[in-house]
Amino acid sequence: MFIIKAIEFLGSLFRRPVEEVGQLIILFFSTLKWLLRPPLDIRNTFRQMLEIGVNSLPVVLITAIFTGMVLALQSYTGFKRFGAESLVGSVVALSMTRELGPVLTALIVTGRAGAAMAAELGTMRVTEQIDALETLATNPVKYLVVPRVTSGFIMLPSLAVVADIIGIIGGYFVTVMIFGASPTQYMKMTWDFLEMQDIYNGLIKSGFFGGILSLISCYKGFYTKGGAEGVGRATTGAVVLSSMAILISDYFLSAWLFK
Amino acid sequence: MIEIIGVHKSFGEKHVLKGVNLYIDKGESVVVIGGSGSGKTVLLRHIIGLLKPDKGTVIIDGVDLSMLDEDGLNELRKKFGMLFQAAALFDSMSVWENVGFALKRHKKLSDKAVKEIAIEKLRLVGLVGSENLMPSELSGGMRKRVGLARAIAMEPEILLYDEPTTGLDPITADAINDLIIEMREKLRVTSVAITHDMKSAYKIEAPIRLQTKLPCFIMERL
Repeated sequence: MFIIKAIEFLGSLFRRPVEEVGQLIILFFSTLKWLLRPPLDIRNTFRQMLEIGVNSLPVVLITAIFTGMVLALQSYTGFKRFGAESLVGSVVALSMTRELGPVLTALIVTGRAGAAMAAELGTMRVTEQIDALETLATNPVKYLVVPRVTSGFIMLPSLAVVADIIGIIGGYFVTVMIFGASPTQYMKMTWDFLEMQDIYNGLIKSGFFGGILSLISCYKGFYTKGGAEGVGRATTGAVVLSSMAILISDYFLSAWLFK
Repeated sequence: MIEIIGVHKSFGEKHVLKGVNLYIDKGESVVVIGGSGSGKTVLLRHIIGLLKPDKGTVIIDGVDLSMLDEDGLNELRKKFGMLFQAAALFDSMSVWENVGFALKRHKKLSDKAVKEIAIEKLRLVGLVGSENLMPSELSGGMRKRVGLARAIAMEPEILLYDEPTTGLDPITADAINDLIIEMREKLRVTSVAITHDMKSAYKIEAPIRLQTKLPCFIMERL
């Protein structure tokens, strides 16, 4: 009897996460299926690209410039101890393109656009707007999820490129304007150690993060239950789960791409 | 036209529909009444394929819904119009965009043509001049009217009403009831309304017959 109870308890702990993973996988394949079936809702996709990409630009710019600045500040003061200040340009460029540009951009977009997606779709679910779409012979995955996931996949790399450039400019500002290092040397060290592969691989990671954060945010919103409280839970869940997925997948993607 | 045969539906432990049978002929008008939680909305959602029965069959125009794939179901849904309890208008769209949503997607009409049809449908439900408003600017009664205009935009053969008068003041509720009767008379559609508002039920559909074997009652025109 005790063993059965213990197994039941263990099962109840795992049931919900397993269910969620299953639903997420089903939504992923459904999104893929509808993505490949024309026509693509161009107008809706552009609207989402504007929301996820263009409207996230100010906050991405601020984050990137200060990240580049603090990276240069810490590297310069640290490297000075063993006379390696000249490497600051390389450190900033490599860190921004390979890691910080893609990851920070993804985390910011998760907090901004991911939360908005979950809240919007969650509200649509609890106010029966998603059911209304179905009654109007419109597949809600094609109409709501596909444009968001496509936009996330396209716009994250675009934002990451901007973040990379602005971060390097921030590093330049601190190293050259504040610490008085040579601008030529900063730029030379930036370009000498930076390979195109660093940029490409960073952008591949960004595309993956964009897809995964949009999919998770849509999933959380799409399956919202329980009114306003449910929408709140879905929004929080979207941000937490997307952030975790970004950080965990970042390690594995980096290990695979930069080996 | 609408056949529901031995439909069972459970949500977890709760067995909501227990072998429901219902036949609604073409052009017939039916009101389903019952208390909260009696399964009225669940029944309505089975008719339009938003829910699938655990057991039993739903047949629309001779087609078993369980045999249809996604495309087939969407094609069949073009025959339906549904008014939701809280209207379920799309918040991000204006009134005319809401009304013309299905026209734009399925009939590939220009924005101008869609707007013209939407205005025509809005006129039918007594909402002239409100086409450019957003749903947040509408009162409860106006939202229901827009929801009704959206439901009739594709000139459906079957109209479903989910609690059409819930949450409305008596005067507005009466106006919505009149509108439902008007739609039935003007458009000659099959209509299924669910409500717990007896006044509304008697107004929409009288005389009535009660089928008391179900958890909810079906009122039919005799």
